[in-house]
Amino acid sequence: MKRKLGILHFSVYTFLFHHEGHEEHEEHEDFFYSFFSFILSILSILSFFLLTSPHFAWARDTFPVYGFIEYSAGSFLNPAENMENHFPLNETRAQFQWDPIASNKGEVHLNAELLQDEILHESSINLREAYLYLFPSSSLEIKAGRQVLTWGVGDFIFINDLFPKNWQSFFIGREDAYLKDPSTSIKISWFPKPAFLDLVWTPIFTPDTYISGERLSFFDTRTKNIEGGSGLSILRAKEPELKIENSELALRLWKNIQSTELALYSYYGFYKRPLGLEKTLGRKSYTQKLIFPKLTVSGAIIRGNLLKGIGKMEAGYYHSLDDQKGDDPMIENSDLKGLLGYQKELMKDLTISLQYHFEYMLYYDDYVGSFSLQDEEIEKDEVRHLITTRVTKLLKMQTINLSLFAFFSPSDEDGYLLPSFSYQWTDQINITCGGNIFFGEKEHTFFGMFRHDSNVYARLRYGY
Amino acid sequence: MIDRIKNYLVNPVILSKIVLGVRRMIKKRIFKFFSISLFLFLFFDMFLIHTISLKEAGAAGLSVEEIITKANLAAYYQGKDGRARVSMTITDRQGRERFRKFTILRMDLVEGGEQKYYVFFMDPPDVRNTVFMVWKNPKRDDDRWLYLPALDLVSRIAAGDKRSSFVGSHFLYEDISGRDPAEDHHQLLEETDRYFILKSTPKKSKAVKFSSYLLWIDRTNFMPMKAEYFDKNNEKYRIIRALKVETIQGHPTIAQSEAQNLQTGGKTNTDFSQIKYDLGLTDDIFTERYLRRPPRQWIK
Repeated sequence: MKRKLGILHFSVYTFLFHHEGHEEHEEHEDFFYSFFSFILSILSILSFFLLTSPHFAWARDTFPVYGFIEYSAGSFLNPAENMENHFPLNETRAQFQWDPIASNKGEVHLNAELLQDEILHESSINLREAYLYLFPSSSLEIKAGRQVLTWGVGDFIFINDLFPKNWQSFFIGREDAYLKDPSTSIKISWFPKPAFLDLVWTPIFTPDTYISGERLSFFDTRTKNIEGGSGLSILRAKEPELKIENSELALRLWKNIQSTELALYSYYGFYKRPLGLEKTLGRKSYTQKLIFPKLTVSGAIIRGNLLKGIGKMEAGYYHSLDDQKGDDPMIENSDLKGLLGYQKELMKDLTISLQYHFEYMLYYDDYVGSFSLQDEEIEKDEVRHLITTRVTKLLKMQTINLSLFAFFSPSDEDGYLLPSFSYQWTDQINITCGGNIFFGEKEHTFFGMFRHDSNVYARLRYGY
Repeated sequence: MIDRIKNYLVNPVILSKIVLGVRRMIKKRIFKFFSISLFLFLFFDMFLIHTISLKEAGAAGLSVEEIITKANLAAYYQGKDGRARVSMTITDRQGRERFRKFTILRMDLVEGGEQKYYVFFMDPPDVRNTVFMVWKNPKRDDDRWLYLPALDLVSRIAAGDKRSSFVGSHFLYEDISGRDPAEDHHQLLEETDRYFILKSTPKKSKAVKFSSYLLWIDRTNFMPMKAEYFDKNNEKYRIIRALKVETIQGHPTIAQSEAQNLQTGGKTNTDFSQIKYDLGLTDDIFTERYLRRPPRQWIK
């Protein structure tokens, strides 16, 4: 039903009754749903009073939990006719963070969330972070457990960062932090004199939360139609078997020369979205299954001061191991990806940034040659160009943040706009509204395929 | 006799005539001997002017430059490094309050010059555990980093206007890390029993909002106790005051200060606590490694 591998996802009904008949567990579903809703409400109210009232300062001191309670809702602007849900977002989230140990010997950090989701009609407990961070010697650090990981220099463009992303959260207007999904990994950092090394081992492959049709619709190349948005995933991919050789390994070798940052990256694992199809012979006919093709990536970054601003460059070579010659139409081809970026504060509290990104497909002739005539219209270009801009303005003693992020691809003739307005009403209360606007000439391009998913959203958050 | 010579030397018209004449002579390469003797003469002359201006600068026998340098060191360079827990109360015109709590670690690379700052936020909730790091470079733009723990993201911030608000308060970046004294012309306006009162005017007036500022510097310890900023219409619009000074490990230290904006009508009060100098901070704390892993032994 959903990909929640590796998450301590407490959607009890999914877990218990997933394989049974739908009608049978409707009652259970309702029961668990209302039960968890009830618990969540009680906990929210309790935590609100316990943790914010000055009378309960002692409780805060003895049990220093922090986090937030947030309600968010969003609505599609022009949903497709076959989209059953007209709302991508309607949920209440309570986050509890706790650092039971935070010393110079080591740290333990916990971050759990209660989520009541009115779109999928489920209540769940998500363990977002739970890690042990150890400092065994002055040049060694080990961070093990459920953690959010990020590296690379792209702004919403990831080349060498192959840690799991949640594009669904991003597209429906959850906070930026939810673009990053956690993974259960071991990160070992070694800090010898000449250069530093990070090694991240993720034993169980953790894919992105890609657009599966659950909340958002997309252009399905199989049916050549806009599909999804029905509350059910229509893209179901087969994940790699649980084997030691199917784990993920990411490396970073980095060094800073003065304030200029340099790094080399390497990744061994799989494409994080199901960019491959596997044909298997069934009893009567062939069946096709989405798979995550094998992938290795090598890349580099440089970032430093440039013309009174920050300049950055990132490059990566994606080597598709399951389609090394590029002649398999069912598997993503290898490609080269690059990014150039520049950021500058134009005037007081007004920052702009520009990025240029390209993806150059290798063995393009073989890719084109492998296409059948009727599929020609959905062929990709050899080079995909993408330009992004970000404009951020702070107002009213930096309590108002106006921002516009825009993606535009001249080659795909499509784009994606993210306007947002955020007001920090008090230290605790934040109000954010914004939009996710997709447009495109063609239905099959990267952003064009989400043309019916444009939405506006609002979030109200109480932080404690 | 000596006084007459002094007057003769200090008179700018005569002096400039001498200098011009000498330049011409050097250009024409007439009498090397003359140029050397003149160099010695001018040297002597400068020395005289210098001693005179010293006398003008005050009874303490300090030049304006010396006073401002000492003030800069007293306010921003105590010890080799330092730590303080800071709590800010930001009050807007309507009297609404916002609070900021953070720990600042500082390390000096060059006395009176390059410094590194590490700022770890505890409050408000939306910035908790966020780290802000600055490498202060008086001669060029600062390098700034920001670490967002929710995303595990280390980002660079374009070095911006040093006179923009620090964390939404009435203090500016420059108030926190110091304004390079070389950016202004300084003039000793007045001396009272307690203060040197300096008037400073920016060398690049277009870059800043103020046209000048007055600085009250404590005569005993060179701590800047008050600054008043005047806008282009010469109206006072901003006041920063030290409300409480404590001596910590022999260094006079501001324990309470206030920034007030007379135009927008708000103010920010800052309390410094757990102040400690010469902790033995090392350079590596001010790097990406410790953005991801706050050095708890200094931050608690």
